[in-house]
Formats: sequence, structure tokens, C-alpha cells
Amino acid sequence: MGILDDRLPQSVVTTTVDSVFNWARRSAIWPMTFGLACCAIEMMAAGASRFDMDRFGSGIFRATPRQSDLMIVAGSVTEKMAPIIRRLYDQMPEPKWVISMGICSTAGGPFPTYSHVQGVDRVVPVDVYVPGCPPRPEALLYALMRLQDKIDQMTIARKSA
Amino acid sequence: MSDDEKDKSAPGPPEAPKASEPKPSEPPKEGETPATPASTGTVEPLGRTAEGTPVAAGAPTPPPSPRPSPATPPAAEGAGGEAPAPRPRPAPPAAAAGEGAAPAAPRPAPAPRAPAGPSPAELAQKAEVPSVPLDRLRARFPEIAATATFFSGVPIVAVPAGSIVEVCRFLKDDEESRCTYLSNLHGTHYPDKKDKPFEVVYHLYSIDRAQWIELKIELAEGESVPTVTTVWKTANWHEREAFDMLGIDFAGHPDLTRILLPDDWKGHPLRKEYPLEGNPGDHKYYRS
Amino acid sequence: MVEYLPILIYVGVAIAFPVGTFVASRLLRASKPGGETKYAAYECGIEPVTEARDRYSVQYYIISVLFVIFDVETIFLFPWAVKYRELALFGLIEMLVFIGILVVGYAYAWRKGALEWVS
Repeated sequence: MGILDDRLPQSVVTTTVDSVFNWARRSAIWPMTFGLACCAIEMMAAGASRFDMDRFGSGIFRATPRQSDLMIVAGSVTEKMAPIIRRLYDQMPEPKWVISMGICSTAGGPFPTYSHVQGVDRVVPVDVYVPGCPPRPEALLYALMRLQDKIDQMTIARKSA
Repeated sequence: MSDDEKDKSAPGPPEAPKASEPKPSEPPKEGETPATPASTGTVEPLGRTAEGTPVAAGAPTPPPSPRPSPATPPAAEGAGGEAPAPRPRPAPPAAAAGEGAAPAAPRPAPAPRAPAGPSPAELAQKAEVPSVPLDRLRARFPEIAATATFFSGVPIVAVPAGSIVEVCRFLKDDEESRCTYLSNLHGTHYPDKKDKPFEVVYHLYSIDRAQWIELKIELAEGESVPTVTTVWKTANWHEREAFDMLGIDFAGHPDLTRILLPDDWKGHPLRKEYPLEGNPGDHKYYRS
Repeated sequence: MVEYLPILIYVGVAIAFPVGTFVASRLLRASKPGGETKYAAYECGIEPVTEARDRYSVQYYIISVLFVIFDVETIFLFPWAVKYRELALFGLIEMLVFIGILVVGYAYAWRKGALEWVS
């Protein structure tokens, strides 16, 4: 937080401010459309009416990294796509998170081949992994809720003990 | 596990007298005389199990395997009309007498049967069917079309690399054959063929005649094929893929660069010697 | 002179509020400099191949100029709408002359093909 970074001890002021900031951040996590393969269909299903990601505030998929908070890597990542993913992740403004959806992006999936990145965490740091091939929309929503829990841990206070 | 033990141990005791003979799993060679029953002991082999090993007479026959044993021809084979196996085979009566106690064959050779030929199903697959493109090819390029074979109603013609463009253009422009659709163009790698391991295959389809024809070119390593992008524009990307995956060079191609893999990739992955998991250096890390 | 004091206060707030928020934001903002890729132009994840400057159809310019002219004409019609009764016949003839001059310009633009999108 600029000049307040790592200065304030944990107190009622910081926890209150934290709760406000974290509530704001986790109630409007805007994902970037990053469907690469079959998991994209389930991501679309999660965004559609039956499973409705919009009730979490995440229904607005931004096509540009400049306006998004979350990158849901949905699908297989090939070696050709990896530098593109890295570049798009770099172009996202902080705070940013990554959900690795499906086993192809988590660990290479059923494809231990020459062209497949064996897990997108070789390319970008991942916050939540969702197993499944493809994971059900409810699983993706659960991952979103776990990400919200992770966001709730953020604090402006001094983090060192 | 008890079943396995039963199967393994059951032929055991009766086979003990045959322990001095060489391994019974070796199939008898053609024309070889097995030892007469008197010399083998008390047992007489019945036939073969699904794995091809002879079963001792005293042993309980294993349950019939779901697939036909390889030693017996399938029932569809009409030659000779053999009975389904396994069945008791008598010791061959007219075995050559000179090879009394042949070492490798403690059991009689299988009953003589007709030489294994193609089954009717295989014959039907390779049957010749009337094909307008092939007939036109015969009229125009008789020496090329002379070597045509058939598979599933599709004529397959081996074409020398130098004349592929002419043949393709003829097949496309000819009024009778009109193979205007290049359905597929791909390369294959046969590492066992040492002199010409690569093949480029063209699948042409005539929409008007509803007939296929397939052209094959055999290539050595490093040899190049003239491009057919002048005949069909779609060959552009197909040839790029053949180049990318197998390293087959196409002379005259407007843009022969990698299409599926990154531009700086080393190697051609669909060659048979390329490891599936990739060479060390294929997988890169982007995190510091 | 003292009547202008509220205006002075208003101006003061109008300056202080943005300056204050910018300064506070700058102080409290997290600073995560990202390297050159972060500030590079966005081109779907690849290195930018072309410049952002590009050629556009001149038709956009023509349409926008015509819009400005007729929009100003519309603005001039509003006072007539407010004072319609007082101006009565004199106002009507005057405004019809005004609109007529602009209709001549409109007809000229139409005949010259300025309203066609593809020339």
C-alpha cells in the first residue's frame, strides 16, 4: 500500500480496512476469457444462466488483460502458447490471480508429450488448481469461492511476525 | 491366484518325464519329425492353447479362449475346410523317417494344411473396382498407373516424385475424372525402409464421380517433392504440416515454415525416432 | 467584492479535491513495476507486430464535419423554440431563411456524395 506498506501493526484499524478492501476485491473478480480447449466449454457453462458466475460478481469476462483480475487458464497449454500466456499475465495489473482449470493446465493432463506444457504453473504462478476433465461448473464455482477465501487473507498490515 | 497356480501346476506332473526334452514352448518347425509317442513317454499332446504352447494330454484342457488360437486357421478360411481347434491330432503318419528323435519337437507336427493365403475378407478389401480416375490415369500415364493397387475400393497409385504435379493437374483438370478435391495430403515415416523411408500421400476425391484415388510418393531422407499448391491452394498448409512434423521438403512452396510448432522448434516430432515426451530442451520454464 | 467569496471557495475545492485524491492515491498505491512487457501494447499476447497508428477512411472525417455543422444549426433552433410566440411571423420567416440556407448546403453535400459511405 505505498508508504503504508509493512508499517502498521495488526490492529482494529487495519482489520477494518482489510475487510473493506477484501470485500471489494472478492466481490468483483473479473476474469479474462482464456479458454484454450475443452475446459472453456465448462467455463462458459459456469458463466451461463444455470450456474451463473455473475452472482459472485465474476460474470464480466474481459477480453483484455488490462481490465481483468483473474486469469482462468481453462484447457491444455502448448509450448507455442506458453510465452503468450506469460505475456498476458504480465500485462494484467495487480492484484491478479490465476485459477488453473482442469488437469491439462494443472499437470499436463493425459498428454505427457513434447508439445504440452506439463502444468501451467511452469509459466505463471497459480493460486487455485481445479482438477477434472473437464471440471464441472460447480467445481469451478467452488474454486472461485476458495479464491475468495484466499483474497480474504490479504492484509495491509505488517506481515512479518 | 489359485487359478493361475492350478493352470501352471496342472501340466507339471505329467510333463515331468519330458523334462529332458527341449522347451515345449518352441513351435515345431515345418516338416520336422517329432519323436514318436513311444519315446516321449506316456503323454500325447493334444493341440495348442491360445498361447501356442502344446498342452499335455493328461492335463485338464484350459478353458477355451475367446479368440481363435493362432495355430488354427479361422473358420472363415475356406481352404481345406479344417476343423476348429483344438482337437486331438494324431501323430503325422507320413513324417520323414530320417529325422527320428528331432530335438526340438517332442510332439507331432500339425496336420498338413493349405498354405496360409489371404482370407476372403482381405481379398475383398483388395479387390479391384471400376475407377474413372484410374482409367483416365491409365490412358494418360500408363506406366504410372500400371502399379496401381486397391484397398477398400480406393485405387492407390505410386507416383514418382518428379511427375506428381503433372499427374495432379491432369486428374484435376480432366473432364472425365475431375478430382477437384484434395482431401488430404500427409507424410509418413517408415524407418524400416532404409532407402526410402518417407512417403507423401495425396487423397484426391472427385465430387462429381464420388470416387477416390490415392497417390503415393516414396522419398529418401532429404529428397524434396514439387509442391502442388499451384493445383490446389489447400495444399499450402498440408505441406507445411508435413514439413513441420516430418521434415519433408516441398520445392517451390510459397511459405514453407512451421505451422503447428513454434518457429524455433528443433526436430521433427512425427518421425519415429522422436521421443514422445520430447527432447530435453523442448519444455521451457517461464518463471524466474 | 465579498459576494464573490463563494466562488472562490468553490474554485478552491475544485482544485483541492482532485489534487488531494491524486496525492493520497499516489502515496497509498501499491507499487509493482512489471518490466517492459507490462507496459507494452496489448496485441493478444504476442509481441506487437504493427504500429498502433493506422490509416482510416476519410469518410469518418467528412461525416463528423457534417455532424458538427448541423448540430450547431440545431442549437440555434432552440432559442426560437423558447421564444416562439413572441417572435411570431417575423421569427418564422427569419428561421425559414436560416434553415433554407443550410438546406442548400445539405443538398450540395448530398449531390457530391458526402453521405455515401463507400465512394
